[in-house]
Amino acid sequence: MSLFIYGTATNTGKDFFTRQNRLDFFLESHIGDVWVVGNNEKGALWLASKNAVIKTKEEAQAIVDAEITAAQAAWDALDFESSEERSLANGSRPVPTTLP
Amino acid sequence: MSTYKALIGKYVRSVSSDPTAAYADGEIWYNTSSNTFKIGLQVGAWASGNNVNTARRYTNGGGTQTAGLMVNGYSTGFSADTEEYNGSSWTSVTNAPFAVYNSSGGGTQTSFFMTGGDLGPSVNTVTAEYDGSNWTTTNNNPNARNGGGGCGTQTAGLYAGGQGNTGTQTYNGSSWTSTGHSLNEGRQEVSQAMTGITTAAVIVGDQPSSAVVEEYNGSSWTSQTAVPTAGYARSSSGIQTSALYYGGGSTGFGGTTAALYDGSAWTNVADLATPRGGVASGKNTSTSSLAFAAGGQTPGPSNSNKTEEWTNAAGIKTVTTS
Repeated sequence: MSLFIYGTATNTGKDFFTRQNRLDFFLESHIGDVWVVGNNEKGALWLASKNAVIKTKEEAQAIVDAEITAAQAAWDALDFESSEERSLANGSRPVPTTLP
Repeated sequence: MSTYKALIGKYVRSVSSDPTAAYADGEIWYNTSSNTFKIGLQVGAWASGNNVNTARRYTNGGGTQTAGLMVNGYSTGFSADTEEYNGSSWTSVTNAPFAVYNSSGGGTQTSFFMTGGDLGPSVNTVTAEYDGSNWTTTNNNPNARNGGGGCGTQTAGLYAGGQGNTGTQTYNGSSWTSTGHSLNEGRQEVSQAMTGITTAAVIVGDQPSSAVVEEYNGSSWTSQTAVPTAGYARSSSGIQTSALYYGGGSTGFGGTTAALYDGSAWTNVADLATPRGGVASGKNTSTSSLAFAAGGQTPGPSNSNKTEEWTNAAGIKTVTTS
């Protein structure tokens, strides 16, 4: 059995996930509204309660990869002669994220 | 293989419903209704709060989880936006007198100071104070920097580092004084990474990546036990002997890790749910048990409008493999 389940859902704010949720199961969000949730009963119930669209790990990873690729393209297009645009690149070029 | 009975001298009890968390600290039991092992412990975790109105990165914060303040940052441009949090929602209030990112300061929602930050072509040296309704400017900070750390109170503020600098200044509610006490490591991107007061502060991180921790006692900076996860653009809450650090990382916007410092040692604690760096935090005015994280930069990198609230209290945790 996989340790995690995957889905997409929009974080609506207060109590979208609670402290008790965090104690009951693993929970991690990623770019593209991707959620990685511990594969236990409470995790699955939480994901269902958020009307999440369930994804396979590969599908979830593809969403994240596409977002990162787009962000890298945006970063590469920045005008580093412009102080304001340079500030957008504060940090470093977006790097790929591998979902657990 | 040993057993719980052999180690502890008694069996794990089976119950059909969980005991009250406040009375279960240190207990372990088997819940026959959910068929799970559970433990009671003092445990901290992040919960989601309502979104900020203006998503932004490298923002600045103060106050507490129920009376928080967020100001400045980079949204679609340099931002002067100020928002107040009441534990439930963020409300936009009077704009700050300067639009910058990477400013820093300290204090509460009704008594806050800040200085520094990046104006684009130059560094902001203006100092501003907020009283819960209005911003006023006071004497400039001639040593203000982009991404320096700030903490303390409106009448006893501390400012250090930024742009790889080691300088340390104090603020008395009117003017700035250089202490002559240098950080051992020049630091940048630490605007939310220093917490405490002028006589007991702690600072963490440096761009591109550092695990070096320093404490300030009002007279000198001394290196301390390294933080478990090196990085920069970290955020902090609490005091020198109970400081919570979270977010940031080696790419500045990819981190979720959080760690608690007791003045000598670090303990890894529950991660943020949303990876990001440069988030607004309460610094010294928000106790480490009631910290908040607002906004910031996500791995896109894009601006985050997310809020998370940290609560450390008695809790019941289900024993799982995930």
